[in-house]
Order: sequence, then C-alpha cells, then structure tokens
Amino acid sequence: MYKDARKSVNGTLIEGDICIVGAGAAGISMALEWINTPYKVILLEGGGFEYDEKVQELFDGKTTGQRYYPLKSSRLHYFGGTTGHWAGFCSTFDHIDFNKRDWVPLSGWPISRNDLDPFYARAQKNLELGPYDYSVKYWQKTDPSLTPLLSDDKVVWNKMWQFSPPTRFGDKYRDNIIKAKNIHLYNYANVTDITANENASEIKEVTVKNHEGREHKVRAKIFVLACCSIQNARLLLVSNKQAAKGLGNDNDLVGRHFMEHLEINSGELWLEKPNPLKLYVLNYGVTRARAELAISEEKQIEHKILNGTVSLTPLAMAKNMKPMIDIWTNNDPRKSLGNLLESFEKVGKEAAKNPHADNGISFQLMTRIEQAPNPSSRVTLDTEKDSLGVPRAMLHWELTQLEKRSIRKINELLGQQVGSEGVGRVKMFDYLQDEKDSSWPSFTGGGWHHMGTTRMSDNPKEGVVDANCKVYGISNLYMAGSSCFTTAGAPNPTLTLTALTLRLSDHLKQQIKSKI
Amino acid sequence: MKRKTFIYLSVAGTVAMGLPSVYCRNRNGQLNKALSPPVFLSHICDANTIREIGRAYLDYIPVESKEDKLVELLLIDETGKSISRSSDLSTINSLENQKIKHDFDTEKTIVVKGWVLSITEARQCALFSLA
Repeated sequence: MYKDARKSVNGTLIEGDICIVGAGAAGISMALEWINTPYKVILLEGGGFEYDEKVQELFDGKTTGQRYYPLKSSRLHYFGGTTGHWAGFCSTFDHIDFNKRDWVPLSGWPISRNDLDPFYARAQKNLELGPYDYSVKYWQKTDPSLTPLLSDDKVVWNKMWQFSPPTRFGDKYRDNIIKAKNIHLYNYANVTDITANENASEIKEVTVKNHEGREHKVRAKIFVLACCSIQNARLLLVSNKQAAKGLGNDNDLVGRHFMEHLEINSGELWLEKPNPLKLYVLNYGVTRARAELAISEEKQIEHKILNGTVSLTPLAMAKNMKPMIDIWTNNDPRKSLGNLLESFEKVGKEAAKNPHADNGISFQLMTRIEQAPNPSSRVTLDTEKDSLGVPRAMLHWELTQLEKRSIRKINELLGQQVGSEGVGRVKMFDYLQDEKDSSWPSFTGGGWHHMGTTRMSDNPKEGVVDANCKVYGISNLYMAGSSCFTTAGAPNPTLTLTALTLRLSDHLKQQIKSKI
Repeated sequence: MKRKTFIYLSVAGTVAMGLPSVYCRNRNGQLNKALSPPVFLSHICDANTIREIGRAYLDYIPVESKEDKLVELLLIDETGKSISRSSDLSTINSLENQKIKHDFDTEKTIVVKGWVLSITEARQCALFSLA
C-alpha cells in the first residue's frame, strides 16, 4: 500500500508493528521479507518515486579533512535510494575481514563470515546476481578463456566479483511493495526526530515532516533505521531530547569510525608477452563476473596490512580517464553522474580512434582497499539546519598511515609475484615510492561507500549496535545497512549490507513474536 | 635508443653469451655484458629507463657505486658463495636468472623509480648505468 505523506491530514498518527525508516537497498530488502506476514509494516521514505531537488538538498553537508565528494550528490534521496545510480559491483567479504587483527584498530566483528553465508546466498537474488559461487573455477566453466595471470595463489589470489544489472531497487521492487497489503509505504515522510521514553531505553515514536508543512507521528513496536551511514548517525545524534548526546551515544561512538573504500590508481603492470587478461578486464554492461588480484590472509597477517584488491584496466584506456574525485564534483547527483558518463564516453571514443593502443602488454593498477576504523574519521552535526529544521551532517574524512602502507605493500607483493613467475613487472606510482611518505596524492578518492558510523561490536564501549544490529541500551531500535559494519572489507558494500539486512530481518521475525 | 632496437641488441647479446667463451683482452667488458642489463627488464623497458633505474639505485645505495663492487655482488649465488669471474658467460647468465627468481620468492626486492625489482636486477641496472 502506498500513501503520499504530503497529502495526509496534518498530525496523522500512523501505527504499525514494525517501522522501517529509509527505502534504499537495506530498507526495501527488509520490507520485501515481510510481505504476506501477519505484521503491519510501515516503510518511510523521505522522497518520492522520482528525484526531487528539495528533498535531495536535505543530504547536503560540509566535509573537512581528506578531500571528498559533495555529500549531497553521494547518496540519492528517493524511493530506491542510491541504487538509483549505483554501478552494481558485488563481492563477498573475506573470512579475515570478520576477524580480530591486532594491527587493525577495533577490528573483529561479533559475527563471522560463516554466519553471513546463508544470507549472502539470499542477497544474490535481491541484487539479480548469478549463483552464489565466487570461485574462479565456476566462472571458467562458463568461459574457459578466463585464465589467471598467476599460477600460484599463495600470495596473490583471484577474488571474483559479480555484477548486478545493476538492480534499481526503485524500479524493480516498487510494485511488489505497493501491492503488498501489509506493507504501508509513505513517501515524503522524512524522519526528523526519534522520541524515546524518559530513560531512553525504548523508542516510542518518530516524527516525520515534509516541505508541504505536514507533520505526522509514527508508532511501532520495532524501529529500524535504514537511511545510509551518514543519515543513520545524523538521526541518532539529532534525537537528543531524552539522551543529551543523542540516542545510542552514551559512549560517544555514534558517527565515529566513518569508513570508505579507497579506490586509487596505484601503478602499472607490464607484461613480457601480450595477454588480454580477460579474467580481470571489465567490459561494463557485458561482463557478468571478473576477478581482482587479492592478497592472501597469510601475507596480510605477515605484513600487518589491510585487505585490498587490485583491478586491471588496459593502460591505453586508463590513461585517458580522469580521477573520480575530479569528475564527481557537482552537488547535483544528476550532473555529477552526467560528468562521469561523459568522461567514460570520451575514453571510449579515444579507444576507438586507436584500437591498437591496447596492446595487451600494459595495464593500469587500481587498488581498492578497506579503511581502518578511525574514531577521528566521523560524522557530526553542523549548527546549520536543513529546510525541515534538522541540523545538517558534517563529515570529517581522515585516513591514516596504515592505509598508505597497505596500498604500497599490496602492490609490492603483486610486483614480487609477477616477477617470481616471470610474467612481468609492476611499476608503482610516484606517491608510493617512499615508504616514509605519509601524504596522499590529489587524486585520492573513495568509492562513495559510507560505512561504520553505528558499528557492530560485542562490547558497548566499542560499538553502537550488538551482533543483531540492535542499538545498545534501547530495546526496540535497530540499524540496517553498512553503518553497522565493524570493518569495511575491500568489496563494495551493497551485497554485504543486503545480506546483513536479511539476517536482521530473520532475527526481528523472532523478536516481534514476543512483542505482540 | 628505441625499445625495439634495444630488445634486438639485448637478444643479440644473449645469443652471443651462448657461444663458446674465448679468451678476450677485455674480459671485464664481456663480464659486464653478461651481467647487465637485466634480460627480462630489457624486454619491458628501454635502455635509458634502465640506466635511470640504475642511477636511482646507486643514489639509494651509494656504497655499491663501484663497478667492481657490483660485479662482486652479482657473482655471489643464493647460498652466499662467490662464483669465479672466469666462469663461462652462460653460467653467469643462468646464475643471474636464478638469483632474480630467488629474490622475488624471498621478497628481496627494492622499489626503484617505482619499479618493483629484484635486488639482483636492480644491481644489473646499476652496472649498466656505469658502463
């Protein structure tokens, strides 16, 4: 069922069993799980079914520290959320990503990769991916020409990725949601405040507003925030009537440990003999699966480095590409996306002009790496308020020497392996030459992946939510999405956040029985 | 020197190494040819790049700036044993290839001008830059 909250009578009280705030990959995935259950589900979306500039503007905010994309254009604020412009890159986190690693501060999830496996398998369907099989062998059966660069995988192994069409959740699942009798979708219902009981141990209701001046209250037995990492933190921080520091923030952790994936060009691979490296090269829109070069757990442990992978692009093509951080500069996500597509088009035209430039000899290396949890890398509130009267989010993105050292070591290990097997040599970029140099080059950028601001831990002193994504100290408030990530892994977060949401959904189905 | 010409000369040099060794007044010159430039790297880089790598290596490690020192180091095998300067050139060539592989396997590498190189081939570049 669907309602436009702008048209509801002012002061409407909406009641349900479960209230999901946010209709992106996490919120919609959760709502889909509850279709045809005996429970009334309220799904609140701040925007409508299409882009709306006034709503999008609510995501605007300042950034400090490491140069970053405009906050307003790095997330989409309408039904379907950021799946409206995501690229569809999916892969699983590795086992080591969930482990406590003594060289990665605050690492160690309270769950393991095995705990997520069944949910990864289910999430594949939501994202319209292939079978839950990320082995090279499986994909080689579909195309025997997918041959690995290296024969030995003890140091560098082939981590497979699958590509979603990409699924635009807004288009794909809109009808399923609207037609579901027990799912009550409200568009233009921006949550501006969460009201708890007097001692902030239980959520009573949330307040929703829109630009038409309508204000409504939503009551439910369970509340799930699925608004993305920055907005999840922002909502908890602004809801400070019953808890002065914000909900769930007794230990000053909400908004801290903001993590991104560094996606940064790091060097070149030169082969002795031409090799198209089809296993690794992405032909966007055509390739269903490809590999990136990853570092073994043993070597990560030995060198005390972060997890990361290296992707390959023919050098002739890559040389014409501008860094993403220089392309995605417009505050308007439509314009930034337009700039990106225009840039890709130019690269394509250049490649067409000189088809022999791609000689199969030289490739650009792009390192994709987790950012270590860092309390100083954080989301806070600005004194400036948005048009609905809510303090804006501010992001301070801060990297550490560990990320830089890890990028260098990953490329060095790759260079050693291609050297050992006599297939080629690696040349690292200038900024990685001096291992004592802690500076970052101007083209340093992220993958628009926001994680960690309500991190999961089995210790309330180190995390905002527990292993079931429940906010510590609040009996009926849960967080969904990548804000719960304890560490960031190397892969894009959508598959993992969807899996984690499905796991949360199963948990809530058990919990709600005791609440009714 | 263009890359193609350089590869040609490198290949010609390698072929020459396979010929029976004969006494030559310029034994050091031949020895240097056997030891440098690194064969694999010369398939990827041109001579100027290899010289630049060699010079940069010597900037990092000036203690190896003498030709004789580099030759001495290049003639030590993986077990630490020196092989004779009068060994035939194909033996020397084979030794260098084994050492390069061993360097990569044991992470005895160095980043010079961005290139992740085996210590041995970095020294070969250095020797080449001194020629």
